[in-house]
Amino acid sequence: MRAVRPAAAFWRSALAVSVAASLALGLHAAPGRTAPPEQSAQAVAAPADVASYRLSAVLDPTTKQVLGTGRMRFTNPGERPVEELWVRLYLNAFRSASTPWMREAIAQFRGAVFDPAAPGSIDVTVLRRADTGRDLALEPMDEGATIARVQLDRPLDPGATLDLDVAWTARLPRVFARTGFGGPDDRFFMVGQWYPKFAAFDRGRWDTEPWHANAEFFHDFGTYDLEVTAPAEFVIGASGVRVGEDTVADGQRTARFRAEGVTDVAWTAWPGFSVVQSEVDVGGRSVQLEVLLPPAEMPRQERHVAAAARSVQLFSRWYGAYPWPKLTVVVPPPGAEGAGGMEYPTLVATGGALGLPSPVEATLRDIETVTVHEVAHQWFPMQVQSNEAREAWLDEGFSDYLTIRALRTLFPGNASFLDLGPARLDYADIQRAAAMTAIRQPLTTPSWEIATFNRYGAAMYGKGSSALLTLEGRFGDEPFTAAMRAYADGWRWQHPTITDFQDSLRERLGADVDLFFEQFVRGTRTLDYAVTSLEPARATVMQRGDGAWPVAVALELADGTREIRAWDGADALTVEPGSGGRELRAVAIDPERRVAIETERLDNARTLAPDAGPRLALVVRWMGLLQALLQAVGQVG
Amino acid sequence: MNTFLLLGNSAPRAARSWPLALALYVPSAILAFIAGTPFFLGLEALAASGTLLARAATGDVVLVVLEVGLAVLAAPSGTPPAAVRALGVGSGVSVALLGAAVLVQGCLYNLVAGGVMHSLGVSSDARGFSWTVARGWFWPMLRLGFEGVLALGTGAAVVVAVVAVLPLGAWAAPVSAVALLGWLALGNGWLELARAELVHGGTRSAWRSIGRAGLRLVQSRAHMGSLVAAWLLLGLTAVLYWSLVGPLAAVVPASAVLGSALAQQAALIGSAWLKLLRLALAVEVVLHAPAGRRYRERVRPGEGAAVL
Repeated sequence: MRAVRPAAAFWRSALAVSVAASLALGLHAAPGRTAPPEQSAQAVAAPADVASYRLSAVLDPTTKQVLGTGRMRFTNPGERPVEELWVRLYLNAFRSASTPWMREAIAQFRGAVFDPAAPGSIDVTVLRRADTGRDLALEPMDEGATIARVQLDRPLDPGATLDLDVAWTARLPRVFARTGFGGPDDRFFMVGQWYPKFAAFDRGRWDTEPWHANAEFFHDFGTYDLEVTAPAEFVIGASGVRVGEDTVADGQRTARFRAEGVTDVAWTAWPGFSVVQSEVDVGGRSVQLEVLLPPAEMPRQERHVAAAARSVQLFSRWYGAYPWPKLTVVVPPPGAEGAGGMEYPTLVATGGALGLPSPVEATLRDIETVTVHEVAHQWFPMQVQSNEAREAWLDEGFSDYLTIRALRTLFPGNASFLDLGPARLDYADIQRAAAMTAIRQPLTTPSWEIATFNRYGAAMYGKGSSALLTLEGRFGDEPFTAAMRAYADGWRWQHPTITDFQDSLRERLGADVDLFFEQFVRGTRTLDYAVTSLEPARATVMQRGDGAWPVAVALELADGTREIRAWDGADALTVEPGSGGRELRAVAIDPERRVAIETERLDNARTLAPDAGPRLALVVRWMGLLQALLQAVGQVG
Repeated sequence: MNTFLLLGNSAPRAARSWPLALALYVPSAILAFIAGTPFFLGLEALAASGTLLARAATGDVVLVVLEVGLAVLAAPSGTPPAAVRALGVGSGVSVALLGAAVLVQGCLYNLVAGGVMHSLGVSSDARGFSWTVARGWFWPMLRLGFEGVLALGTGAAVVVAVVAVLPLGAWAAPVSAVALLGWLALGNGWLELARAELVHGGTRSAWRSIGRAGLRLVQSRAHMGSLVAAWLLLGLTAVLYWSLVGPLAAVVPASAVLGSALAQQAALIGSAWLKLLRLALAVEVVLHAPAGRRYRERVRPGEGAAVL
């Protein structure tokens, strides 16, 4: 999701079991045994089905309800029989303004305010074993009934499959927290988290944590067959690929979709969509790109398409080929912006332009940033399905790190977010600034343990992406990309934890990884390098934070030569220019700004011979601005 | 008198009197220098911290502002580093001085405006800026300026409010900008005409000069059309001028500060001359445009004599 979330040490004891089971199923190579990553975009294997669905949805635009029927199939991936199922009922979080979810969110989400007159809910009317026809009971397990337990009448053996027939009514809220109706005439629908859904079953356990306001999702892979029926004038888009032509009968349109190797499906319907189709070449394979746009965004359709297409290609090259045949991009219309900035497997909801004057809008990568971020989620966590709620760093921090890399590639020159004349800005610097407001927040904190959404965002998006940038800066672009690729290849279609990620990185990059994780991922330490003194004969640098991390120190000598010295970033260091009458002129710690999590950089450099040019240039610019303002304002009439 | 005849007569008048543009330019130059100096001093400590200012000077201003903000955030016990404190004080004083400078600039403009208007209207042998004349018109000009600012501001607010309630959708922002610029071009023109009425129309009353300017404006549809078109054309010229010159003036490479500063000042002098052209247009209208019947009836005989 566009904004932000967090995590903790998680099911480590079951790691060995999981790896063994995975190997037995031939799903992935164990961490540490991954083959060297190929910097190509070849297609990757599909996962085994654990939770699959056949869903039929009928949209009633008047009542804002979806009538659903279908069959849910669970295959026990564990090594022991399963005696109960856990089912998530997300929409119940929006049943009223007083649910636990709403109390956590204070009835607002990313600036959108909950409309108590248009709440959301899900009521399961049928839950029945397909094999015996026996009805099963859903037992809500939290106050908000966002998760429920189903006691089986007989255990399900390892590898065995259970089909449940289900019927339900989903009442959609006014667009809130990614889902609902809104837009012109309230006829836009973004339908996510809308059906009864198995909780994730990983490493022999159900994920039973109720849904929280800052939390996202965590599910098993499976195959989905989806059928959506809506009034004929609606344009329908959904996860997966469209199967056959839409059928229209009695004024109703029915569209069918199929998605394989995914953890979820979402869909959208609105009469006003314009559909832009294109193809993206991914390592010689063609991926269909479908962009659903409101009319107001049509003049910018090329930006939407290019952002999605280029990011699919870049991420395919870096982290493995986009594995599905299609990607759908949904741009919500005005009035339904709360549905945007969200990822689902093979479908992302992004956002339109901010409505700034055209010359400014053209210099701002708002569309690109959101689109690239959501597309990045197609790798983390849609392929490498970590627990987004418990360990959000592996989800949002990773996606923002990927976004930073992609935007830098697409818009180089330190202007990946803003390129407005003398004011330019890299997206990484925005995240670095955000990170500093939560720099002591461990990245292992579960999302629900972080009180506010802002802090959650600062930690998981800001500190999360900055931490990965710092690792990249330490080990180098190519080696770190290779390590990330190895992690993705090793854990694709699995449920890795932060520990698994750490193990994977250590395997390729060495023990320094542990030093970093203990201090800045699990710990609360900070870095603040400083040049504390500079004389021609020596300079002193020291660490003012309570952490330590290796960094380069650049020396500029009076004769114009430059030297780079390595420093462990822990103990104070005195550097000297060496013999032969050489003298220091300037010293700079981390001259290439590789340590993105450093709290303060102003004291990272010092010079004995300041260059007057930049100072004068800034002042002349400032004075010119003042003078123009005085002429404009002070000469009225 | 049509638009092009108006402008055709005004432009030579402004061109012949080009040194008067310096009277409009110099106060802003002095005030900007005064207001900018604390900023220069405040940057001294930061200049010793290596390449940070160089980054700012080459386009990373926002980044450097972010880093300064983060230094404040990271400061133990809320005390930012000395370089940040110095920059904060320098910038703060500079901004505060800017606020004062706007007021002073307003007063200085009203001080020179009478002299400029007078010089633009007298015969060529008597042309030249007179401080005595300027001082004599100061208080009426200041009153007109004060009332003019209120009128322009109120009008601008009304324009924005009207555009805001129109169902323009995505067009609201550009329509609002165009409407606002149009209003400023017309409102400014009216006030300039009022200043010309003040000096050459024979009244020392700010309100009366504004009223007379309005009367002169509506005396005939053709006249009003010409004048409105001329003001809009000059407004458009100013917008185009700053669109072309502004970015150039904003680029100040650290390796060519002097040349850039001179280019910047040349651009600002050019802007001052455009203002002079607007004032010359107002003088041209008051001195030479035929007054309509309604105007002649409202202006009593003898009122036309300058009172100095």
